[in-house]
Amino acid sequence: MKKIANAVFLLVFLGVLAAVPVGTVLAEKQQVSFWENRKLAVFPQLTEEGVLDGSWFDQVESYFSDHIVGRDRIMKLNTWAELRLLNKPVVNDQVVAGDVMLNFHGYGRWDISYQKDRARQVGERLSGINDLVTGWGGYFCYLGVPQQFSYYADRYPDYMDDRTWTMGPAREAFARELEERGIPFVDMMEVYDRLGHPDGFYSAVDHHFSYAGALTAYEAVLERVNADTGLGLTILREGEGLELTTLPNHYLGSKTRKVYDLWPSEEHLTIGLPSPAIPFTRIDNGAQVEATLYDLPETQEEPVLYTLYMGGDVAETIIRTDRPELPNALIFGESYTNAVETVLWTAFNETRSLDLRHYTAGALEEYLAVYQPDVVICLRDDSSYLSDLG
Amino acid sequence: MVFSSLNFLFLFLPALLVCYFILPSRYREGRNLVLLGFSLAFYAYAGVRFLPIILVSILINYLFGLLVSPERRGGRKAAVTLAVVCNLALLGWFKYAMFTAGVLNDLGIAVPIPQVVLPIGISFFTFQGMSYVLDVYRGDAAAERSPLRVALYIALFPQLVAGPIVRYTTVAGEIRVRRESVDEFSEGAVRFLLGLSKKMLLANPMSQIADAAFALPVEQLSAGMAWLGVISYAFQIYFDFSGYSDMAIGLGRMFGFHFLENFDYPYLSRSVTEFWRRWHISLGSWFRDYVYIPLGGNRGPMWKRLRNILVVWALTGFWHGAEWNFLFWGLYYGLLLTGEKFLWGGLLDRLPSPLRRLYTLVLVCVGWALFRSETAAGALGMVRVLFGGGSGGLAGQALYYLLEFRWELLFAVIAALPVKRWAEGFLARQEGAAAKALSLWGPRVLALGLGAWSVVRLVSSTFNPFIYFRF
Repeated sequence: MKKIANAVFLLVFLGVLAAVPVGTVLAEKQQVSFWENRKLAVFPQLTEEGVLDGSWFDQVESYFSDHIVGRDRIMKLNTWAELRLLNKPVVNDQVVAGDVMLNFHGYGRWDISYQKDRARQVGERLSGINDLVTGWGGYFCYLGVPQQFSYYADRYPDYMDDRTWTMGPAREAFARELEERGIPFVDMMEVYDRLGHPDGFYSAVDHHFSYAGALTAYEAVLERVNADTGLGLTILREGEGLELTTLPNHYLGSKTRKVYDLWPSEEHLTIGLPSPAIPFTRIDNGAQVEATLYDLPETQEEPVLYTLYMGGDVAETIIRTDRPELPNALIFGESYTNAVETVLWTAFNETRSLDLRHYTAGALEEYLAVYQPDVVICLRDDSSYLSDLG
Repeated sequence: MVFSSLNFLFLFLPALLVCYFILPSRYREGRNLVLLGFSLAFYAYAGVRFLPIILVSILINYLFGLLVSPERRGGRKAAVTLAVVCNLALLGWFKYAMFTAGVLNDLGIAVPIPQVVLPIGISFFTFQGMSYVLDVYRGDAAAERSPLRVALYIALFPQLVAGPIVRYTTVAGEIRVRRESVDEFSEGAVRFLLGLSKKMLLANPMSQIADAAFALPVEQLSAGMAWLGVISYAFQIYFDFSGYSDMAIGLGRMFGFHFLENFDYPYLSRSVTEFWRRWHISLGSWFRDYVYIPLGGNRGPMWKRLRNILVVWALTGFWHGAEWNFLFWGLYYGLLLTGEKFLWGGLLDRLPSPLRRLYTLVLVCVGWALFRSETAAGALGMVRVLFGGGSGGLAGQALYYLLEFRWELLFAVIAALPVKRWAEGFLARQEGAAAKALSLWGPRVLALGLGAWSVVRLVSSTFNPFIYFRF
């Protein structure tokens, strides 16, 4: 019996040892990992130096691990086990213990006295932009929105670091700098708080706000522009020139993506379109593209991502409506601008948007000086208040 | 290369098995050559530039093995002395040159600090090579005329980079004549998979807790987190090291070798003395046989006996790493062993077993705090916090790690106990067919299941997501 047991064991053991490399070689190679949102490793070039110092072999290991047969299934199985079987409070760096998925920050405290100096440096740069824009009679405004984990800071379990000890002082230092420099600042955390800090303004499964949160930010900034400039920009609202539609498609947020969509969620994305429709043309990175605001799915079964809004992150987008009686605008920032842009353009003749992470054709100030928009909005989340503008 | 890597599991090992077993067993030297070739390739994986170092070590020990053989008439003592000097010079340069230069500079003696890269496994294969020469010199083993067999002994990949330190006498016969069989291979593979599981499923999670605790500045460390960190490190190092030894022993068995056990449930020890009979047995016995006993061991006046203990333990500490905290760690144990031997050993023997085990565990954990800390100051700071000298620490951190790793901690406690022996003993006493079936299939199914899960964890450890697309 022992011989049979050993023989059976051996067959299984050797079978797996053979099947994995053979399966990996035969399997179709992916270029990109959807779940990890990155390019997968390519087979490393054999170099003398790489062999001598061993780095080539390490790169082969990376290649193998990126392309091992069944990789996504294996990862998903591990994630499922951690979520459902082991019931861990944090899985793949996401806090999954409550009804909202949040970033896990780890633990550790550092000296935050650097924040005042950083805020001053950023304030100086923004001051420069403000002077530049107001120099030709334009208006500059900073629209600050909380990051999702900031918005839901009170949802962290008591034993976890919610980062309010650093985010709060950073926000205060930043706001103080802008106030001292006379730069208009719309702090959406205060606006959301005044409105009761409802759950519906931020996603439970993505690091962005919801469309309701984005619309609230759009309204708040245009109200501020109107109040400061008297431009009388039209603000669309639901039922007042804006038609909202909630898509039935499953929403795969940036956070649920990290847990292979195993965290239960009934959240859906909403889109808004002006009614009556306003004709426009769209130019992305210098080339005319289809005049759309949303990367809509082809079927209801297809999941949607935050990249639904404006088709994701584009270095430069220009929307033209051929209404020269209206002012021109520029909004710059990061991905938070995408949802706001879908409705912001309706108030302007031409709306330009720059994604600071991808726009590398020149300095922001140069761009502003060339196009001289009437209204310039910087939209960033509070975790970026003290970061460079790029 | 490490055993717990995809390259090893699914490229190196399958290729080796094919090349090795495709040769009929009567071609023993052919199979040995395959094993040697793959062992050197295993070593070269860390960088081909390191290959000459192990080849030099092999050559030194092969030649000196011939020179110190009892068959030779004269010059044996000089030869063995030179062999030890050459081996220690090799080890000393690669492992201790930077440290020594740093110390000299700190003392005001300006010397250039050489930038030396430590070749992987040098501590292990140097000791192994030295033990071959010393055993031949003593007449415990015959000098091996075939350089390939000496090379195979020193470079054999299962124990090359992390032990156990295999004595030549243990494997000399098996290098020449051994029998691979389905039973031996399977039982070796079971052992290998269980060792892999210890590493992937227990040691790695424990390292996350330990790393977090030891990375904290002392002022941010609570007593709870300090203890959790130290206990986790105790588990991490045990499962990492004993898991690696299991894998080495299992791999050896797959190819017909029988290495000696390296760990024997050390956390059950009732004294520090007993702990060191159960922990890294091959290292302890190496220092006993080649340093302690030649120095005089337990004989002679008290000062010599104390000296012998402290010398061995200073060297043991330093063998682990070229840093002051390793030396302190070694001397810490030297003092404890001295104390047990000459001062409180009798009192200890009279205490109830649970108290003795607690005493041992606390002292061993303090030892791990010294061992793991990056600096001597850090080590002392950690020990201070362990015993209430901290200033509070970050609220909630210990609770988070307890919740996040509660299952791993629970299984770590279980796996540190001789559950296997208890289960085997219990099943052996049962008479039903179910017990027999469980006894037969249980370990194999468990090994396959845990091994599979280890691979899942191994692949998952490469999970590397980005919020924004990374090119």
